[in-house]
This record gives sequence, structure tokens and C-alpha cells, in this order.
Amino acid sequence: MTLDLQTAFARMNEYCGKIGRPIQVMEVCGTHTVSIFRGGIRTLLPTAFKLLSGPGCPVCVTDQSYIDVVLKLVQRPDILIATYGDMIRVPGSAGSLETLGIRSVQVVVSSDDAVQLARKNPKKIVVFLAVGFETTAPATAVAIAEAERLELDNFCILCGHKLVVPAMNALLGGMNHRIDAFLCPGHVSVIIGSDAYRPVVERFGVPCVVAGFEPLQILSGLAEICQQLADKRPRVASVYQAVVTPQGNRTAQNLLTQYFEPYDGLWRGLGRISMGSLRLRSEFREYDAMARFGIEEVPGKEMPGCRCGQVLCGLIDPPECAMFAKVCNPDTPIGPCMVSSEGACSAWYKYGHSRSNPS
Amino acid sequence: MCLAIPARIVQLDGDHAIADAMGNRWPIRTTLTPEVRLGDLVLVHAGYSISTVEEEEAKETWELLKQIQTPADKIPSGFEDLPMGGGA
Repeated sequence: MTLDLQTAFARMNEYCGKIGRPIQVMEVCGTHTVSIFRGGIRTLLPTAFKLLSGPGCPVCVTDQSYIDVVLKLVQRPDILIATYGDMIRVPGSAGSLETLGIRSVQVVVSSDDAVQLARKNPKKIVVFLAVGFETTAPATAVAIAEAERLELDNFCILCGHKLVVPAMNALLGGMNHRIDAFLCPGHVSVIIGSDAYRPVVERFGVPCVVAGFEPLQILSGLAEICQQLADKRPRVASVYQAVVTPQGNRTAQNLLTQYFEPYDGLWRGLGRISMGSLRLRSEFREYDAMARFGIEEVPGKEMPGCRCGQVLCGLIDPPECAMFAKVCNPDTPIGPCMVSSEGACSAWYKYGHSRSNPS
Repeated sequence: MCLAIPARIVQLDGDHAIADAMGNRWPIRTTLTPEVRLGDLVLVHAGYSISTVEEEEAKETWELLKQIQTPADKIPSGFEDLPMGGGA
């Protein structure tokens, strides 16, 4: 249930008083991160309440090696890259699609557009950069199904899809984590359902609360988290029941299972996460750009001095990075968290990095 | 990247649809929500509807989107690439 502003703050203050120690809550969705900054929520929180921005932006967690593969593929004259706009500025070892001025790149707004691009360019092989969490992955599955139906032999994907829950498990399983609870993503949860977080609560005993993206929905979610921590009764809850069901979207889940399988893939800053990434099942190998072009996954090198990895794990706030707002800013981003508009560094930069809340 | 926006299905042919949000119309696919009918409100993400949505919830979101429609040089960060075409 969405609370009004006064009630939300009153409850947060009351419960934080009961908890009697500083608490740290991680939002695992880049859209939440931006909405929290835009709404000025950080500045209004009780002093004992600290928000951490987690690995919730798919662009930010895409490993440098993925971009390096893309940069390798674009060297081929027969390849056309189809990508969501977010990816063109992400740096690999030698630059980004944007800085290198690569022309064989087409920005698309849906995976369906990428399939249509392949239809219209029969002499080119269209490689769709399939990135994103569970919200975006089903659309990729539909694109593969469409390519199958159309018998397109010039369409394939470079699969960079990631799964949210394994990342949450990995963060809580880490030695140095500082996470008392998760604010869970609204639209990922539309697909996976709020029940998907039950294993996290059962294993680690941390509240997992799903919220929408409007400031009041976020505050209601944070108030629910405070109550659970005060009562020492962690559970899965949703303050976004209008669209998030416990079971999620079964059609989308079935498509994911049909076309993809989870594996221990690379996340930028977090390394390999157990069952944290998706790859195409072997029977769809012909649509897998890695298999088609014989490319091996090689871990990328971290940018020297870039601390995006620690930012993504909630271990530091962006201003603690020496490059933040000095050499790394949205115009000349060094790390992925500054590249994406939903990255933590970008949000901190744009909405006043001096307005940190106390830890 | 995972932001979906509410829109009304104003044309529907199989799983090909035209969605309307605040007067903006664009083609979407309803493959992931086979239950939707003409006139339904859906959440659209990256060109696909991912769920149905209640009228009240849709209106609240549209209201929020209107509030953030500011002049181009002051477009709020994070929403400047708000995907009317579905986005990423």
C-alpha cells in the first residue's frame, strides 16, 4: 500500500528509533536510483538510514569484455550492430562505439526492430546487443522466436542478459557487505514475481520489498523495510501490488526458460556470479554471436583508478572515488556508472554529490 | 533501463498493437501479455507489453511523466532518454 508523505516519514523515524542502530538499504534498480535522487529522498531520510545504490543498471554491470567483443565484431564489414541507445557510450579497452565513430551501429528501441533490420539488410549479419535484466530478456527471446519463424539466417544476438536475484545473493554472500535490506526493482518483479525473492529472505534474513518508481511508492517501500527491521521479521513484501504479482509473468518466464539457461557469467565489478547471467540454450546456437563467430569470453581489465566495482557493491559512495567529478563526469565518463543515466555515479553527479546522507 | 510506461492498446492485430500514452502512439508487441484486449492499459517495456495495469496506476505515472516534461536544456537526468518507443 502506498502511504502519504507524512505517514511514510513518521513511520520511518519511529521504526529507525526502535532499530537503534544505523541501517543500510540497497536499491537494486537504476530507475529507483534516479527517482530517489530526483525526488530528493536521500536528503529527507532519518540520519540513521543510508541508501546504497546497487548493481541495478544493466549497462553498468556489463563487463568490459562484452564491449571489447562488440568492438571486435564491428571490424567485420558484413556485420551490422543493433543496440539499445544506452550501450553506445560504454567504454571497452579501446573506446566506445560512440567515441570510435563506428558507423555500422544502429540504435533500436526494441528487439523487434533488430529483427526487422535483419530482414531489410539481407546481405548483412545483424548482431543484436542483448543486454538488460529480466524485464528485457523476454523481448530478446521473442526476437529469436521471430527470427526462427522468418527463417532469418542473418540475425544473431550477443547475449549479455543478467539476473537480479543471483546478484543479490552474491552481494549478501560477500565478506564485507553492508546491506540490511533490499528495495527490489518494480518492473523486473513484474516479470519474475515477488516470490522470486523468498530464497534471499530465507537464506540471509534480510527484508526484500518491491516498490514502484514514484517517490511515494519508494518511500512506502522504505517505511515497510524499516518496520520489518524494527520487528526483526524479514519477509518479502510488495508496495507495488497494482502490477507485481507473487508469481510474475508466466508467459515471459516460460520464454526465458525455453530460450535461455543461466550460467556463471561475468559482471563488471562483481566478477563471476553463480548462475547470474543468461546464455542461449545450445539448440539456439545459430543465433549466438559468440558461437557463430568463434569468440571466447575473456575477462576485461578494470580501468585503472576506476572504483565502479566498489560502487556497484555498495562498498563506497561515488564521491569516494578519486576520479569522481574530476576526470570522470557524464561528458567524459571513465567508468560505466557514469556512462549510464541510471548509473549511481551519474545520478550522484547530476543531483548534487555534496548532499550525501550520513553513514 | 528497466522503466516501463503505461499505455493504452488502441489498435490490436494478433500480437501487433499500437499503444497510446498521453497522446503519443507507437507500435508495440503484446506477445508477453497474450490476454490483453483492445482498450486495455498495459505497461510497455522495450517495445513489449509486460503486464496489464489499472487505470489509477497509469494515471499516476502519466501525471509524474508530465511533471518532468521540462524544457530541453533542463530535461531531468535519467528520464531524458525516456523511451516513448519502448526504450531499453
